[in-house]
Amino acid sequence: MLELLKRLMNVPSVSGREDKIREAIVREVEPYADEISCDPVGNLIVRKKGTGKKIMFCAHMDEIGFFATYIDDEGLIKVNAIGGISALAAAYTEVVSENGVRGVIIPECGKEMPKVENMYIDIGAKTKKQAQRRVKVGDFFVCAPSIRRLSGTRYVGRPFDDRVGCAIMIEALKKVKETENDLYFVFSTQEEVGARGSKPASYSVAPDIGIAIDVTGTGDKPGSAKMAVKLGGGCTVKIKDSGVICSPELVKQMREIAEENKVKYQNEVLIYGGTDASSIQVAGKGARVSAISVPTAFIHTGVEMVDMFDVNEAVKLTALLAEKL
Amino acid sequence: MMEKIKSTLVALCEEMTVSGYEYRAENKIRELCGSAFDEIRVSPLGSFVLVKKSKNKNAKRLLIDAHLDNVGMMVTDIKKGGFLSVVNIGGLDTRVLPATEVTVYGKQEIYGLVTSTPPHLRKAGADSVPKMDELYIDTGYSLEELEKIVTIGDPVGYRLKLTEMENGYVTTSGLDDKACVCAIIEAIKDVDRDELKYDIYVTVSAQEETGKNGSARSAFEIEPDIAIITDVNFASGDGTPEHECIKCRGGAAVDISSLTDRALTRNIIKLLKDKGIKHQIICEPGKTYTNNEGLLISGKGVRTAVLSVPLKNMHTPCETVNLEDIKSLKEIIKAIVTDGEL
Repeated sequence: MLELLKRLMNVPSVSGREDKIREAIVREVEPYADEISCDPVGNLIVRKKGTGKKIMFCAHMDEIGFFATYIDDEGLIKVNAIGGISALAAAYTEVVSENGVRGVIIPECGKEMPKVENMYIDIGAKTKKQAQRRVKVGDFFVCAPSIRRLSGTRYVGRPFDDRVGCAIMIEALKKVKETENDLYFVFSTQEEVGARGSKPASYSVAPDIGIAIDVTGTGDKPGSAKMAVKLGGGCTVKIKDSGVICSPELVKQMREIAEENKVKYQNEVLIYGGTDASSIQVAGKGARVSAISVPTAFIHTGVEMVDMFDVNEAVKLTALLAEKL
Repeated sequence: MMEKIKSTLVALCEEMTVSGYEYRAENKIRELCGSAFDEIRVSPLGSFVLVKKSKNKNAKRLLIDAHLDNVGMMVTDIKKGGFLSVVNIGGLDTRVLPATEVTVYGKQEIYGLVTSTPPHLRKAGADSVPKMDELYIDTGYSLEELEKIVTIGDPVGYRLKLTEMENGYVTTSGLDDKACVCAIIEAIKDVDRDELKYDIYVTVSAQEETGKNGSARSAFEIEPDIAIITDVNFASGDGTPEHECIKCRGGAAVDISSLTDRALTRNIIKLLKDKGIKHQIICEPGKTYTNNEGLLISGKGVRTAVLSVPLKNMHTPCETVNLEDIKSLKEIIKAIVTDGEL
């Protein structure tokens, strides 16, 4: 699991530019899939054929980042935020471009609370020309990927959101044995800019049941929102977030399957934030949806923190649902 | 006639239908519809689709929508001392929440009260409108007892008891939009198949209060030629701006909006004038804040009209309507399905 996570987290792919991570995922799933296709908005749809219920699992491939919008006379690069960038978290961190150009992101000097629109990427260029040779307007940057163990099963780095979901789906796909269910594992695009990719994907798949696999917040860190979810308490079964009220019937089935198979789970009501489940629910004639989440502290920073215990429980639950729902 | 409307309304209002939990009313809906419909099915989002087909094989499909769900809360955590923290489902009016009676739908139903700070203890200048995360549900149970009954994610609703006032007024929670559900069911029950000009698809829809999701999904599947959305609208009274409201006991209103179909709306108004059916007009130039917004653009698009019942105290535990206005909506729907040139 850890090696797979490292491979996936090391491929920068901002929303709308998911081609490289998609290629990486294709390499991982090829031996286990019956059908692999890519739709017009870049979603990777991996099918394990069956004759029964159509179940769509969905994790997003994209991550938050920046687009270069302008290179000034000093060779500094102005940027535009893609997705929910926290300027506080991004300031003074290392960034890397889609072509591997390294740089640092810096706010205007002397500003106490930076805003993304007042931030620059410094790639160490001495002149505008030098910068233009290495970065073009429209190139994307992400905060530098990393993953390291802190203690026990706790890891920090980025982007766990949502490569951890992609890794969980890949591991579950490997684990799934006999089932009649018609399984679709959708690796979606553009979640961070409004859960966009999953909309056409769920329209074309038209599942009976949709289950998003993503990160969720935790309530056990200083200043975190009121939430009963804890790191290390198991994966979650989602009941509500700001975009969706999950199907009570599906939530009940998920809890029962988790309990029967001794998977440790927590009940998740996320007050701020959403995931692809909201799009799957309202595509076409609609679907029964919920989500499995990995409790993650400090989401959208360079030090997203997960507990591998929760990740492994999520793999177990995903595989069980694929077989037993 | 008023007695039938009242008993159907009372029956609907006894059901807890916080958005997402509409399935709890399935038996009641089936019971109220009796054999009046050809088919009753449940959509993936939890909407009820009631079908009654015309004898005419080439009849157009007419969708008539009212939402079953209402605003409420959901448990987010179980606290020491028997308190529950909650999040709102839909647009709750938090000004009236403190000290409100609620029911928590755990393994069993339990009584709860929303916490409040007495005026003596409130800090001077403190905001009089509480925020959701400052309010808790007080249950009287201990933490240990409560953990056995309540699970995180359980829904919480206002108490369900309809009170009759004078002159046909009734009050309880969830009249938004059960008043309209009641009118539609009673109207279609009253009409013989021979009289039906259209194939009728009634959507008693789910999750309107949380994004207008249920009806548009059902419309996608039904592909109606025409859709009529019925919902409540603000009733005028003390403190409400008259030009944005309709009058209680003035009959149901026909909405004129840029989101509704002009010809369809005109045809309905003409029909009502020709038949002398009591109604009023409300102009909502931009949004209608009803299922019309999603339904209009579902699938390949739908021609829509909106009808409204005046309601006071929206999204509070004491929503108030007049039975006469429900009766008016019932008469309007009957006229449309039997004689409407849509």
